[in-house]
Amino acid sequence: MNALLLDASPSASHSSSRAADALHAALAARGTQVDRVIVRDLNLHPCTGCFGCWTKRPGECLIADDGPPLAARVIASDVLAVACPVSFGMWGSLAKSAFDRMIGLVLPHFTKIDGEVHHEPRYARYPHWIALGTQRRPNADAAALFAQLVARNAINFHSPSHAAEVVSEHEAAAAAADRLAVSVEVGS
Amino acid sequence: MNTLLLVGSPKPGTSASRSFGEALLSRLAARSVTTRTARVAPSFRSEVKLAELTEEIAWADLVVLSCPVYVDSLPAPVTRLLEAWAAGVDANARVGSKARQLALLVQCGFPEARHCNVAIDVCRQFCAETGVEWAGALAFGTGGALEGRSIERSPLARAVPALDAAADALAAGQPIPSSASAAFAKPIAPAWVYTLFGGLAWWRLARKRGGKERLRLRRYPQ
Repeated sequence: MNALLLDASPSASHSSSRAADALHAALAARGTQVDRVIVRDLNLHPCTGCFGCWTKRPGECLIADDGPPLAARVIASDVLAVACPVSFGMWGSLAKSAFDRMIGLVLPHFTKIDGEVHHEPRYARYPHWIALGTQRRPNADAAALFAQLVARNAINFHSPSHAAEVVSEHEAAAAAADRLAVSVEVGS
Repeated sequence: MNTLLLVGSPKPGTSASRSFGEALLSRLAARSVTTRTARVAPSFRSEVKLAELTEEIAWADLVVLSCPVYVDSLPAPVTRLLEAWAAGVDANARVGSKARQLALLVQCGFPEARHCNVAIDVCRQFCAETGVEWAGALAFGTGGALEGRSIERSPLARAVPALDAAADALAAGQPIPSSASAAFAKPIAPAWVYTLFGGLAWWRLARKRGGKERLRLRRYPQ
């Protein structure tokens, strides 16, 4: 099994970088080959909403930066693991800038999932999705919202399983990372 | 009262976010509210533009954020701006510390407005964490229906009275009434109509742009 670990920490000294270390270690300890990407080192422009990835060059973003190769690595992975700060219950802006560029991985066409309209999958399989968020101070409402967002993303991304954990800045991330790694085994 | 419209769509020209925001802003201006408009997207990779935008926020009593749902929540540039705004509040700095209220106008590309719920909750959470007053939200599905059109000439024309009610409330310093939010959230069309004609619309656009033959292409190896 291989995992793409998106380290979406704003700096190497940030707590979410330590969370990425913990996630890396937990996955590797279970025999998963981990490919770690430092998102802040990528050249990623924001999505422009042109829908060229659906209508002009289907399946690939038209912006010539690190977005298209990152999307290729995402869809080739068995597990998409993300470590980032939680901003008001959602992905921090670095992580979000990466996800906004991934819509070419699904189709523009619609399907219904549990009575709701979503986009059809483009690929035969999608990675499991696990997320480890960090907060400066514990905030249960924001943590619950983050878990809800990851669940919604997993539906739209057709992930076979998903799990989210949130730890505060001074809390050790190892136990949470371990639970996430276990969730992938259970979901496989 | 000073009101700043933040257009959160990354599209530089017409967009549903701009149409939606301007429809509310014109109603606020008619109620003696001083208004300004700014785009969020250019600030994403420019610290200078981000600082200018937080200065604009500092000018406003009410910030109206109008944006699309991207991947179940707020677009990345809007998230970045909220992080900068919160940092200003947190540091008790002059910039970003004045705006008292935040209202959200949000739309998604699905027929069900509930796809907007996470984005609404994120903005509400932002307010809870920063002390900015939450002034409510108007959300609707089928966002493309409003792109480049006035609301009166769009399928959302039936929600004009709700928009007027929202403007009345915001101009008086009150939150958007829940009845106005409910009126906007009603689907424009049944889901099956939307998926049928929506799928056709994507096919037509792909034909026009040259991607029709490869619409379902699996571009990357697995």
